[in-house]
Amino acid sequence: MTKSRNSLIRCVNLEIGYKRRIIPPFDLLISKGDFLVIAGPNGSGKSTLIKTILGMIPSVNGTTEFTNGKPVFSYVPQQKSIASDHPLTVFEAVIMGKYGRGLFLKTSDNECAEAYDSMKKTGTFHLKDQKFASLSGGQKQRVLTARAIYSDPNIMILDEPTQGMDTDGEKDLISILEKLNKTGMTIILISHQLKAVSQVKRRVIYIDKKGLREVRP
Amino acid sequence: MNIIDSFEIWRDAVAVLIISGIALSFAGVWISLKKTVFLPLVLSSFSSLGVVTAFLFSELTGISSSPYLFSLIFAVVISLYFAHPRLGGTKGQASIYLISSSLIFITGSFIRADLHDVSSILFGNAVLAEPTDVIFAAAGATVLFTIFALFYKKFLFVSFDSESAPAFGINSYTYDALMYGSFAVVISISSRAIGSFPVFGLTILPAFTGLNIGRNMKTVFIISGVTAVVSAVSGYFISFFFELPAGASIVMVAAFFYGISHIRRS
Repeated sequence: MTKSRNSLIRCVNLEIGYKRRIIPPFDLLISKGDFLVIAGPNGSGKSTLIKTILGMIPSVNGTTEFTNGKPVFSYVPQQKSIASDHPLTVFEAVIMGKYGRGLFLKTSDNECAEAYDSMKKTGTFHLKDQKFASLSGGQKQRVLTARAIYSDPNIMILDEPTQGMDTDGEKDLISILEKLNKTGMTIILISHQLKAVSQVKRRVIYIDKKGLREVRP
Repeated sequence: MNIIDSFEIWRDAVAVLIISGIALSFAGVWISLKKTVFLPLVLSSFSSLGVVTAFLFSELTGISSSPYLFSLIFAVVISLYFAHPRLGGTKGQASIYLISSSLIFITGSFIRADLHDVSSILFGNAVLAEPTDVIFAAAGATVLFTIFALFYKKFLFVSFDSESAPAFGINSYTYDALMYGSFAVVISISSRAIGSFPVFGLTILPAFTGLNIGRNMKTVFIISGVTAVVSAVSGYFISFFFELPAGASIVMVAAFFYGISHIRRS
């Protein structure tokens, strides 16, 4: 596997799992501007792969290299991992996107403008004063996407973002992601729903018990 | 004796209740959001185990040791244990609560010191407090609010979306440990001053009330704090006038406010 100028992440002989590997070792190269869909059945290791790349869990074996320095990640989790009754407003949830970078309580006017901008991109600006907990599943997903955009990442990772969405909601979200991808942002989308995957005319890799393979390079 | 004449008696107790009420209800909001409502019970119980260990240690070795210091150390150590993402479950908390409560009684039976002294440090006394209790309660509250003023953003993130936090550069375990450690300080000090039962009540019920009514984090904190202070002070004076147990009166008033908030939310 060659190291190109555009490559961001290079996995070599990577074995993923919680102490024991769940799929055979594999190589994977993710480049700047990729729109990568990771597909596969439930429990196949899609989320484990992403968490390994993010350093949230250690790999069983093999290496993950950031070929041009560690990129800025943002992550849109599955909704079940979010506190369902938190009293945060939508605006407060979005500005969290940069909470990893500073200690101070006050959000500057500039940061507020950026947060509003990311909410406008995802069509959630009109919800800004509502409680996050009171939103529908699709609206929550858009707000979490707005948070990810606001954090100004090199790579945005979305874990099952279309789960619980209707067809129009899915199309809207994919369209937002396509637009972001055109600006140069690398997108990694995890999905077990083939319908959602088929909408994306980009690179698709498939994971199951047999391993990881590229089905649409 | 009327209330003015007895000012010297209730002054320090009310001061401790107000300070502890504000700090505990603030901690309670985060504890509720983290869905770890048994944590105050475990911290209180394990810190009490620290008290009896200190007495036993002094008796066995002849070396004088501070039950307050042991109480604090025990509470902080167990809070760090429960901050670990794989160890913080309800089962573990219930087990540690039951084990430490049993050990308090077993170990306590070996202590020859004045039982009244041990009991008052172990379980606190919501009726009478000393000036040192006020100072300790203020110090505990200062530690809690200083830590939260510094790391509020990180705590907010991990309370909302702990799983994604590492991807955004926030180490969940580090901030959970800091958060739980600061709860341990406040709960340990308050348990020694006013007793573990009203501490549990003032931590959980006003927080639930705030979360039921509050529209955002700011209003949740304000409602919780006001409810805790009103419950603590009015519960104290109800117990004073009607000669009822102070801790139970405080908890009943807090439960009354929670009931109203629940009806309003429904």
